[in-house]
Amino acid sequence: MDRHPHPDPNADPFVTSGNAGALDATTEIERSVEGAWAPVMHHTDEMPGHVGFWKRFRRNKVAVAAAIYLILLILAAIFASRIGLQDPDAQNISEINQRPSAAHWLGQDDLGRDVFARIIYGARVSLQAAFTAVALALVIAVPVGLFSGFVGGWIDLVLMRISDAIQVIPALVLALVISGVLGPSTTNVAIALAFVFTPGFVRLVRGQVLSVREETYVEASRSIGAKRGFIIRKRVLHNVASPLIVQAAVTAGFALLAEASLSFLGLGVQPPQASWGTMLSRAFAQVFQAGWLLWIPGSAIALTVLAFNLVGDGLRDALGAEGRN
Amino acid sequence: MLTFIIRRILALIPLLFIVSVIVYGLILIVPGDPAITLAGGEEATNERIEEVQQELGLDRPFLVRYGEWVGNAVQLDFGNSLYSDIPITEEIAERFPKTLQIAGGALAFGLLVGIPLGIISGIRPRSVSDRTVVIITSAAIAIPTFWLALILILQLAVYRSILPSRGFVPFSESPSQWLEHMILPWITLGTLTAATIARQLRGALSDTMGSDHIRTSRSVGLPPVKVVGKHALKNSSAPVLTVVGLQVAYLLGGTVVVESIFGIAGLGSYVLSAISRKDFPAMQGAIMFIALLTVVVNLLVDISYALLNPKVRVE
Repeated sequence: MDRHPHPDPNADPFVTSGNAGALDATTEIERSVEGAWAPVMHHTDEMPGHVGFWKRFRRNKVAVAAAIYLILLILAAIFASRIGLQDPDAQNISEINQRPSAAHWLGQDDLGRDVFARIIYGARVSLQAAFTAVALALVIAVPVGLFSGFVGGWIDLVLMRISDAIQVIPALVLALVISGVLGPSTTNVAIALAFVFTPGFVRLVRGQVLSVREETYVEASRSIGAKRGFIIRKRVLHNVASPLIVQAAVTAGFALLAEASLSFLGLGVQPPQASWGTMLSRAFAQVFQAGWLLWIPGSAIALTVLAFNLVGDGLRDALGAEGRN
Repeated sequence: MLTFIIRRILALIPLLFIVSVIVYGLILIVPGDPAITLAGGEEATNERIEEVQQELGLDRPFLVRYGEWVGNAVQLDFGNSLYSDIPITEEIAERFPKTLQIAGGALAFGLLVGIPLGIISGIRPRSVSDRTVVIITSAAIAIPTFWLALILILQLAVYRSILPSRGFVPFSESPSQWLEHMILPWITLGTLTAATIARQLRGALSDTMGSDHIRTSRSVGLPPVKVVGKHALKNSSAPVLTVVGLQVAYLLGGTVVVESIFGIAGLGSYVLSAISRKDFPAMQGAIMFIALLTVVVNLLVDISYALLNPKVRVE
């Protein structure tokens, strides 16, 4: 399940040239999956591209719907204990494997627990793990990528070789191993995933640095004696921000997926804590008694991953549109 | 061409070296005293702890141990499993063919389904058939691989007993049963590959269809089948090849999930059980082997690339 995006702006020309022409919404999704980042976006000083950002984003109805879904899900997860949900851990042995009803909107599991409450509390754990992983990866990758791109030379070469090496090991295997070695827990899943995602972000940042570094306006800044720190802040970060935001959205979706896989295999979030992955593995153990239970956490994962991808696509269009026409 | 290949092979050496450092370095992140943790934590007997210490040479400096391990790994000797005491290379050799059958079949499924879908949508972008393919592939990409496996089992093995839900039968024993047991793993693992290939081919093909030389071949009256089959597809094959290269890592990683769900004792489930048994040498050996495979396949992809496009050879 290596849905690990490989965002490499310097990737082989074949990958990107294939769809550099057609920039309709559908090819965009594909780029988010393969991660080949084609358009190089250059924002000049005050980022005029952001003026119409909301206007452009709003035009993409699908992305807006996906964003609303995600916001509602995040709010429900944050305020899970205050929105009148049933106790996600309250067992009711006399009502096990019950189908959805008015009292239990999504039914009851093999211990009679309310599935709807467990899905929302599970979202809390799953989203937290995903967001922590992405945030951690960004915190490491942005400085490393900037450094690598600016310094160049053998340091850059070594850092890129290390990124290559990490990406040679299948993402899921590496995450499984790190999480297993550290000892499975919600925090360690996030750490393991952050490690796996870091090289992709490093490459993205470094690629942007390389492409911006030789631009006339950066050269001009340098020639009038601007400090390196100033150039990084004012010129480079502005250009890196857009692709990074898009990549972060898509990666969050992948992180959610990976967390679910790890937890399903028993090397992630540990029961009895509800996460979408542990709910699925529990439901699978009951497949002959109550197979329908498989549909609920699975659809939750699929919908949320899809939403992250669609929001990523919407952001990409809205943030990078001025470079296109 | 030969110098190109040699250069590429030489470039793998530093890469594999760094991979080996990462893989061997995993022992450094074991919480607590590795010998005690790996021997089973709190319940570990002193004998077992000593045994583990001996086996992994934990009393010697890290770099010395690493040097020895790499020296042996180069000769494909990863030591013995902490759990079974059998040489890890033997265990991998016994399990790998099953993984190869799963991953190979999944790749074949991905190509057989993905290429026609890609052609259908790529030759007429924005048509009804194109939009349908785009929707199907978007869904296929969002569905978690392991969930797809569970749903397939539920529908085809639990509700209707069309296919077995788990297990493996060697081809030499019964080809028909082998096939029965392989179909679900292939579909599970191959679906994402198919969707990815379809999308990549669609992008490449829709670009190629608009290019001058295709318009020319059309205008001189070549039949459409020939235009697509002979000219457009040839130009669109490179992106597909790239995807296939990238998919190898995904397929090998995916076998961990697929083999554990379908109860097949391949390389993927070996990694998983090595992790849960805290069998460090087995884990390291298996990951190193998987990384080596990925690297070799990518090398082959690079070489076929260079054969397709001479420009690549002189970069």
